Amino acid sequence: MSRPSLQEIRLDPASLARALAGLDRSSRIPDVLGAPRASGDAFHRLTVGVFGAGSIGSGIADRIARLGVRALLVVDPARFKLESTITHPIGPEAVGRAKAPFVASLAKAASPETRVFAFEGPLQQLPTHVLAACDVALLASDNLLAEVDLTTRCAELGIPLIQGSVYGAGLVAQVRSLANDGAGPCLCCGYGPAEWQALEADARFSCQGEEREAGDAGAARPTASMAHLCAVAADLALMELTRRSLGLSRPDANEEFAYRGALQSLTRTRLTPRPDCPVPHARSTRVGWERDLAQASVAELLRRAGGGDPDVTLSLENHVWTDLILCACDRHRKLARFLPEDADLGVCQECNVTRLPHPFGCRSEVSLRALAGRLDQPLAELGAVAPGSVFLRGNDGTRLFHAPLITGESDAGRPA
Amino acid sequence: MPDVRPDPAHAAGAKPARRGLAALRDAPLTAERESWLVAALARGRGTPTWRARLACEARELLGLEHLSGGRLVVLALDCASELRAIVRLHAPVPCWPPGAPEPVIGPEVDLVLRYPEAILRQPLAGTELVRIARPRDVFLPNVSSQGAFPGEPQALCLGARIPRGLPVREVVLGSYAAFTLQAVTLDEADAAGVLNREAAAWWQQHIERVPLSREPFLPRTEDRA
Repeated sequence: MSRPSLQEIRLDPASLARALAGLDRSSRIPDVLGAPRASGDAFHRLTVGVFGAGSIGSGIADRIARLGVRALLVVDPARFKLESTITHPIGPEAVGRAKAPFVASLAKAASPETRVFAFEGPLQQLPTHVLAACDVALLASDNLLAEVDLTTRCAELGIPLIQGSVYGAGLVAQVRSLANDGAGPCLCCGYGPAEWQALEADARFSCQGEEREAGDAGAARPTASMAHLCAVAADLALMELTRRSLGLSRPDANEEFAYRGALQSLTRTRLTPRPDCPVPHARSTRVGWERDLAQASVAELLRRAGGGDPDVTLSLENHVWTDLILCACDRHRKLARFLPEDADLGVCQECNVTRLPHPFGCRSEVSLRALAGRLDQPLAELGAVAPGSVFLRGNDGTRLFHAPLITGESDAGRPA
Repeated sequence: MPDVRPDPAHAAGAKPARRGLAALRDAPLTAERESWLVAALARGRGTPTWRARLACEARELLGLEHLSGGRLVVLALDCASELRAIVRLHAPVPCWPPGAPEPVIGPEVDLVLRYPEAILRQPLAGTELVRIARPRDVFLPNVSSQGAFPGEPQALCLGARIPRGLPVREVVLGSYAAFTLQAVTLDEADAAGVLNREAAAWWQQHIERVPLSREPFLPRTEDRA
């Protein structure tokens, strides 16, 4: 099963020229009274991830694009069904098409100058460096496994998270807004027994025919709601994005807003962390790395991290540190280098059996002690092949070095 | 570091106060195993919650080894960022080596157990926790065929999902049940699926050989103790 990949949505030059001719977004987007930041500047700098392109997420993506944000990422593994036309802003021509690229294309058409990316795959397979490039994450997925994954990763990366959801039968639209500053709550802090039970019930990982499922195999429950309630949730989420972006709310605020349609009322609740939450809340420091990470040495990354912590461990995205090789002749030869996942090690010349990384002799992270004498070598010489991100974890915190999401010129001429 | 020593009332050599798996918590460890455990846990990283869990699970694994009467031997243990162990399971293990006319039943299997921190917060896929280091060519419906997962040895599937927080002892017991065919999915149409359809079909045709052993994991004498 091949990994899903990131695709940038582009317009053909003629369409682009027509779309951009005379378009002045600032003529319609006002500076907000009392806001410390100007609207145009604030939105123009934003890179936003929208996770879930369904009833709520498709509306979010559309309206975010109209703000003229710098970059927009749309993530969803699913395709539109006929029932989608009831709650999604789509027509029957979209049925059967993949949600992420379809919604991303609409967003690109609405804001040609925005760099728009689509990831048609499970959120769990989204590369870390792509998520790390987001200034804020907007979650609109019904899949609890995806929700747990995103809240865990956003908490670690320190990315503010805004979740929009609905309870159709109760006419409730709800938004949770989390700062993810290391001190506040994550989404799982609010889970009760019903959520944990639903998480178990939704998770299905079929191993039929050895086709390994992606891990999001959790069956998302279809949204049972009305289109306008989903639109309220989307717009409440966008209003929260606006408040955070323009400095109208405290950066460390953690709040829930619940709109009750039956009463036409809005309640606001402060969210607090739960001490026994199973999600680690320690926040890492993100460091953008413009050059090829494979050419960086561990020593260079350590210098950039500014620490002399000897207990640091190193991990590379989509790589495993492999100490031992497994084959049939039971001589587990030492390797001691990074291997890309799914690497082909060939056949052992003695036992003529495929060589594999020994599952006990490979790990996701390696200590500096194991790299003694090799700290000045580029990561490529340690086996790394185009790593998108590198984690350095130490006693004084975690640093994430990540490749940029946006490289090169866009079709609209907006540089990286 | 969490205190992982057993209750002093049940120190090494003392008779466990409980029977069967209920005795696991108080199972005595030899001095060698105790120091092994302490050394492994000293390298543990992660949140205090996770390190405490690692300590409990690692101790239970070694306790299970003690109670198993030799059926389980822990060959290596690592608790640096997750619990990883090589365990030898003495159980009938069907393999189908190239060229053999039918499956050959071996006496033991070396498994690599992996117990990641994510299990604290979410269910995992059934294939995530157990890999087979030795022998090769294990021939079971719930074991992937050689090369099915690129770059990895054969995987044992413990079900459609691993429930959140499943303890390591259940992983070991589930593995034993799978290898002895005491628990097996032979129906290709089962919602959980099968990993090796060819093996499922073969064992369906040779259902009289199932299970390969009726012996429980723990020796019966333990229950009588």
